[in-house]
Amino acid sequence: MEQLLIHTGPPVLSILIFLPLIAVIPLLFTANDNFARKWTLVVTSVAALYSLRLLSGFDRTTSAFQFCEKHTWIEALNINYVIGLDGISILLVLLTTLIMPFCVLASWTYISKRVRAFMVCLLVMESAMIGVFVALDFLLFYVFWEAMLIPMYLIIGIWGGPRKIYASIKFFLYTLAGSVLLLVAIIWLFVQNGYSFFIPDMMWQNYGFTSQLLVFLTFFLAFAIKVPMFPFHTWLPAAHVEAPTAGSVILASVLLKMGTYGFLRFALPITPDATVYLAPAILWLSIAGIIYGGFTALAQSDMKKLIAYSSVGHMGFVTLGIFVLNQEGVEGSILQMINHGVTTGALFLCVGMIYERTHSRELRSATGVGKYMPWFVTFLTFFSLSSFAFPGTNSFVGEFMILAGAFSFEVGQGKFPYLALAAIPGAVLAAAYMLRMLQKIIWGGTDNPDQSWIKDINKREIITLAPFLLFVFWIGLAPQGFLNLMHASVANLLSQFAAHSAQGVTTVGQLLP
Amino acid sequence: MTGNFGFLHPSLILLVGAALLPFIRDPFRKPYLLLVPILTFLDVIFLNANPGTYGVVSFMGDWTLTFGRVDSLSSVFAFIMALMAIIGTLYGLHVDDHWQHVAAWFYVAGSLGVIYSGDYLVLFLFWEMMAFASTFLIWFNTDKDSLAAGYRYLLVHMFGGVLLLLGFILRYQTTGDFSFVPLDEHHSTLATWLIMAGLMLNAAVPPFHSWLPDAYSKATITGAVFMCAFTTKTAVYTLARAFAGFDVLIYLGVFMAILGIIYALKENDVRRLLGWEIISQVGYMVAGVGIGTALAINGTAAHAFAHILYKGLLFMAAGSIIKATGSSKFTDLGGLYKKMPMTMLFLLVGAVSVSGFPLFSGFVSKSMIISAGFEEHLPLVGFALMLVSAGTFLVAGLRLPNLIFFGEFKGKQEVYDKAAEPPWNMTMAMAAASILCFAFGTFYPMLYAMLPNAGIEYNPYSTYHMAETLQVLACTALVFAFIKNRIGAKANTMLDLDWLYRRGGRGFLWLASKPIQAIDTAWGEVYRVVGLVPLMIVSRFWAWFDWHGIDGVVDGIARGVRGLGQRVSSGLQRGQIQYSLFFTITFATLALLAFVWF
Amino acid sequence: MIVNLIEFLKARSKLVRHGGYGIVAAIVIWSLIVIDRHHVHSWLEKIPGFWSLFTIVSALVLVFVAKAWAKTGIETDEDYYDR
Repeated sequence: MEQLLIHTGPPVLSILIFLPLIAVIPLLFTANDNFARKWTLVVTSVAALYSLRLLSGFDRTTSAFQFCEKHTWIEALNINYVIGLDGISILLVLLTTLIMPFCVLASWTYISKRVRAFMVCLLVMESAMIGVFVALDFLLFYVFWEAMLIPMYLIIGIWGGPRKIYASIKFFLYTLAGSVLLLVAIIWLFVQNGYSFFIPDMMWQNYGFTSQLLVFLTFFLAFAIKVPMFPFHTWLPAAHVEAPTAGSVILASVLLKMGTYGFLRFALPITPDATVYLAPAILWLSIAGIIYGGFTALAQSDMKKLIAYSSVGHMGFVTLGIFVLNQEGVEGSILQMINHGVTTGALFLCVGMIYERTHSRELRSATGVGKYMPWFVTFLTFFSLSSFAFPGTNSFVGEFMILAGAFSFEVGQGKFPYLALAAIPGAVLAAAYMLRMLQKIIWGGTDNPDQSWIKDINKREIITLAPFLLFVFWIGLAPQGFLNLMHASVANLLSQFAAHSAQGVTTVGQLLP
Repeated sequence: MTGNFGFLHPSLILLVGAALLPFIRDPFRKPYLLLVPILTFLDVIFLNANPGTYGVVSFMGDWTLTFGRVDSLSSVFAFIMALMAIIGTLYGLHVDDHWQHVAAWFYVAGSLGVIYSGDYLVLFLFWEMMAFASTFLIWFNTDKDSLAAGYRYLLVHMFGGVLLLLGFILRYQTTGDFSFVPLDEHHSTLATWLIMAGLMLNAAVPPFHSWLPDAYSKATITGAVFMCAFTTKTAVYTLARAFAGFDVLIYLGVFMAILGIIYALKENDVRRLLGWEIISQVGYMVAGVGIGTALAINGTAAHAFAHILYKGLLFMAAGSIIKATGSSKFTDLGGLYKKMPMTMLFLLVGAVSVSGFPLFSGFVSKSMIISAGFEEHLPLVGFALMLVSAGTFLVAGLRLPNLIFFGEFKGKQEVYDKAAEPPWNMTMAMAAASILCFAFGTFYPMLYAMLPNAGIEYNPYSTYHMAETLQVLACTALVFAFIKNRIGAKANTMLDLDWLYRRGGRGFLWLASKPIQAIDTAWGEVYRVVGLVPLMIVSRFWAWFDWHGIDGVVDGIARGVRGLGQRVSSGLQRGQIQYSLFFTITFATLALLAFVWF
Repeated sequence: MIVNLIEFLKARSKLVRHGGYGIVAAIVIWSLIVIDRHHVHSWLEKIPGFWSLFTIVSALVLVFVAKAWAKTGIETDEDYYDR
């Protein structure tokens, strides 16, 4: 229990989780759509501002969990309401709370039917997402993990595109299938842990190697589907394409991070030996994802599908950074999670704005709008630059650190840096598809449709995009502040990892001549 | 030594100038367009007079970024780059589309940034800026090929950028250092080669050279003038800084010098020919970097200096011809001396400069490298470069002007009638460059004073050198007089390494769109077939079981009860109320008695 | 003015040709006299009129190699990539 710093004072995290949930109540009694929008915007903005409180109270020198709260919940099964925040999760929580108001803004005119219900879904999603990142009781985590599937399913299934039912069901079942075995693992760990679901007690326990392997594989299935890692990614293009803009933004910016968060929070500490053993395979799988995502994105004519596949590529870099298991790699990957959330979220917002005008996601119908939408293409250009890690933007810092970590990993073991070099095609492909999309949208060719009727983005849309641009450059030019937040936790994670993965290292050593 | 006067990075002037340009209206536009590069040039001169290290900032904790490393090597390159920026902007003064000027200035800003950078991170930032900005200089050309050419250019440069990035990250991992300093040939690692590959690509060293003729012939008229001056020479600077003395560069340099001439001899497009000429001349510079002695580096710097001027002049003349006739192909040109004599004169000045005529800038620069080659006991290198000198005069000094300005005009008559001298700004820019080519050739101490390694004595106008050069020029002209029809204009082109990614590129895109997309769709199908179909079969079974099996039992009971009820009711219900009453009361009384009793 | 000069020369093309040969001959002879062959870098340069011979050979070799390389099939139509 000493890893917890119980919080005195107002329960910040609980407020953040339940405020959106409680805010649903007024929405149930009103019939006014406009009120629904404004109320949700106010609530999410208040939550966002309040979450900044976490920054001011966060102790950057310790790796213990902070802002913790512990209450008994279901005494008979020893399921407790334990939540807490550390360097790994704080940025993800802030990402979630800060992005929600912009999802509301983006849906202002996009959603015109059953607006109340949509806003209810957004609020419930927010509660569930924050809950996932702060839960320290495994069953509580699982409850929140499953809970966020339902509003997402509704968001895609009710307000989505032409094949929304297909996409929403695919999303739901796919993710659920991965999580089913997770529950088995959770219960096994419950029994092993003296009938407690408390996560910190499950970490670094030196379980038997075979048990670790099995538990890791269940973790892997659940989280790899979420990330999404190749070849478990096929739900993503369908879901993204059919989801409404706000749905895509939440999906890309937050939901995908839960997979990688899961690896860092659970797979590494609970099954360190298995992690070391399987890391090389996962690293190559990540490279496969990077290159595969690049190739498939290049072939797309649907803008949302293009960005969806690009997410597969970007998240490949993130998992690469995690599984090189060194300070630079892991810090780079956490930063890159935030970067991807910012950049890809912004790109989906941009595509959504085009869709609202042309009612098509096809690149063909959006060519040549540069002349008529100068503000829009300015934003789009910077976000595209960030997407392929142009220096000065946020993604460059993250990718740089991940590559440095990859080099450390290989060169440190005296091996030729195949991994880092294998990432070259991915980086070049990323530039290729992003610039192709950018060039077509801004200038197009000689057979552009007549775009003279298109209106440039209005004030609301500019306000929606501007903070993303701010973060693109803030993280790109002054990343130190962000890295400071995670440093202690990552350092602790890796030092504990080194201390507890002896079994895995020797097993790997025995298998490799 | 950090500066104690306010250090203003020249690139900043260009960047701010570019950002403000869209807001400047006529009649201030043209003066403003000239003012910004002039200010940049003045800043460069000021910095060059105050060598030192400026603009050091710390980033992410333990890294320091150096934006202003001003020493003799960077000063000479920065000087000529900034000067060329003025000439180039003057040449493009008539262009109304301000985005083209913005792109050009971003491009020059990137170039100056690289030259003044003191570490790889800063270098990389400006390197990417150059790649990105110059791509737009191609895309702004509205010809149908330019779009694809721009993509090819961009992707090739992104590839080079990633190689460079990986190289210096790897170097950082092993040495903990980002600083941009000379590397050691004898302790070269994978990082060294990666960095060299990245820099080589921008310098168009084979095998990374194919992008150059492709891109420079498809850029806008003014864009090509900028591009020919900056990318390759900035890369030469970086090679001179980090790879001086690497022997492999000598051989690559000689190879590329010869390769350039051979391809240029067969080219039909004016700007492609000039592009191959660039590769050839940069070959001299790369060989000079490889030789690495003080004289050789001086020669490289001098040759880069001279080359920027005369190549810019040649591209300006070529651009004027394209503007006048609408065509860049030799098979459409010829006999233009009557309509464009001034342009011809300027082209000839550029041509004789590149050929190394005495009194022009090429004469005082190229020979330094050749002398350095001989002095370092590399006679083959020296002879090879002299061979290339002959070829240079043949191709650029004789073939090029001959096919454009002499002979018969091979295009349509209306085109010939409309052909005229270009606007005043283009003529003035060409005149300025011509005067400078002559000035630096004749008053060469001006140039020599700026060279990086001071104290190297070299006299280009020695009798020996004059005799050698004049012999070369005279005899090349002699040969040309006899064989000029064999190297005339033919509407053909030669294939090059870019075939791999152009034909290969088509295959690549096909690969991306067909098979891989098919795999992805198929994988989804696998999930459907292996996962969903059995799932649905199983669930249909259970649904059937549920309906007919379990529910069947329930339904069966219900039906049975209903049937029973029907029979009972048809039996019991006689329709006459007295009988119903009698049965009901009897039943109720029996039930009550039973309840009371038990 | 330039045009007039060129027209003038074109009218007397035979004279120009002979004048050209004369200049070339003059240069070669001048070099033979003037070059100090004792401080040259390599033995090749000791041959009288070396650079003239070298240049003629070089120019011919370059043209020959270019034509040979083109004939190997490298030379194609200009719209090769558009097909």
